[in-house]
Amino acid sequence: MSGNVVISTKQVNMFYSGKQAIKDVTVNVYENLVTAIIGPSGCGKSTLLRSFNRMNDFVEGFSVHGDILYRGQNINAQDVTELRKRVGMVFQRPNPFPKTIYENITWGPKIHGRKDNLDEVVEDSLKRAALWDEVKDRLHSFAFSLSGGQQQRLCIARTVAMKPDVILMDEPCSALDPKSTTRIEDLINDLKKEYTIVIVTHNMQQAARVSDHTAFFYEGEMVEFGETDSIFTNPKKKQTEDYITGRFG
Amino acid sequence: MNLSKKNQEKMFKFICLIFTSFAVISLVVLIWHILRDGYEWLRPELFTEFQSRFPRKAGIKAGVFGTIWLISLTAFFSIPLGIASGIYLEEYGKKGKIGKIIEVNVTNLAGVPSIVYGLLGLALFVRLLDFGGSVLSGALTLSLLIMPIIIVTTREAIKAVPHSIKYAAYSLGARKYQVVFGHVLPTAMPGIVTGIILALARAIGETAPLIIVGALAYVTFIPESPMDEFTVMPLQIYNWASRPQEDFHKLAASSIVVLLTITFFMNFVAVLIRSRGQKRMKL
Ligand SMILES: Nc1ncnc2c1ncn2[C@@H]1O[C@H](COP(=O)(O)OP(=O)(O)O)[C@@H](O)[C@H]1O
Ligand SMILES: [Mg+2]
Repeated sequence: MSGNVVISTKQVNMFYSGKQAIKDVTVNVYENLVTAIIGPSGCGKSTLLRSFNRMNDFVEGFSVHGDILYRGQNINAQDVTELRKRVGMVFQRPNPFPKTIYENITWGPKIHGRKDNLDEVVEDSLKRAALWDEVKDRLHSFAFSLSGGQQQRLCIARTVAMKPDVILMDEPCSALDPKSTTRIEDLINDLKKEYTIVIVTHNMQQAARVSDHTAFFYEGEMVEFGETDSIFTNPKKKQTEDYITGRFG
Repeated sequence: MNLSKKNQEKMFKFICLIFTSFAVISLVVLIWHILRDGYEWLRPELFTEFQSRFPRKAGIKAGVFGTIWLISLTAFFSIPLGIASGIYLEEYGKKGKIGKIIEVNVTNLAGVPSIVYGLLGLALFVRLLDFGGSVLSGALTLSLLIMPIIIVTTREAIKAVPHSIKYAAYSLGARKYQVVFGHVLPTAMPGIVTGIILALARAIGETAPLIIVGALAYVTFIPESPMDEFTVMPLQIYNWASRPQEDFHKLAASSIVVLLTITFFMNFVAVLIRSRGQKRMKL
């Protein structure tokens, strides 16, 4: 595996009030590639993903031991708002702000002092999220008037508007219908040209379709990490094979 | 007797219905009585006349303006302070020891009888700060009285803001104050406004604490500054209702109609805002 490493962890352990959720994980996320994190429910996928932009800071009793680096720098040594600006996140359920479509996109840039050309930012972000054509005539209507799939693309557009480096996605399609899921998967393929993407999914077909690298987790440990093709066609570990062939999970 | 589950439930429903209708019927009877007694005296003079020894010449002008003064000042003090305290307690002070202590106190304060606030106002504002029996003393006393209500409803409204919205904002690199002022407060606003209206509606009806801080029942002028003496509608009503003449009782009834109309209207607006807010929050 080659390329620039964007995010890396070195033997990290994570705990919720003393209960271990991530065990000794060392993993690299490479630039302009899609890294999928797969594994059965409760294996720590979301925990690991949220630690990349320090969203676990909000969980009382959570602690990390070991280093997580973003572009070579320890994430705890940087300003957390700056980190989150660079490492954006799309959540499991669409969570647009209770505001208009337009305001949903401009709020992020605004709080970081970007006040000019907001119209352009809105158009550009919506185009990147493949939503522009559907909403260009109603930018000032409420975000909740959109369908679930549209809302999730709006959330992607909101993240893209920050001009991030990395986009983290936590099961972004789990609340969506198959058609919306396909659209988002297509979108991920487009987005990876410009962004580094980490996607958590419990859907193995989805991982196989969209990702370049796959990390398979089981009970807090990373069992296997490698190119998606080889993980799916030629897994090295028995556990991975069992999971992929649907023997558990 | 061996009632089946279904019958038990029917029975329970029926009992609830009886009690509810009891409350509704009493209210209707009450309003009907007041209307019957007061409708004749609901005429323009009621609003254009000051107090008088003669019922025909007496009106609630002083009370109306006194109430307007009092409630405006009360709103001026209690709304900003109440909202700020609510935000502080819910968003910032929750973890600290001081926050815990304040929290317990605020919750208990909401249940303290209003007369106790009157005594506090008398000692603190009327005597110690020497504001006398002025609108200012009354307003500060009522502010203390309704602030716990505003604080509690503000906190409830903030608590009801979905975490997913906050996380979305944080994930864009927002700082806490940006999340609070950009999303939490706007989303919580319908709930906060509802609480404020209900609190002010309560303040309008208060009488006991105002008597204690020295509001007068017989006033023939409109306050011109916060330091002026005053009366309020409920106090005039109380005064009239305790006179022997029949006509004063009718005058009291007609003033009650006015007072009830105002508080019903405020409650109605509160309900309206709340239901509209709920609609907006729904995904
Ligand atoms: N906020 C939390 N508080 C306590 N334990 C948690 C919390 N979130 C997750 N966990 C626990 O950590 C483990 C990993 O959870 P999670 O990362 O959500 O798994 P996944 O996303 O793979 O389903 C689970 O055992 C879960 O119960
Ligand atoms: Mg998860």
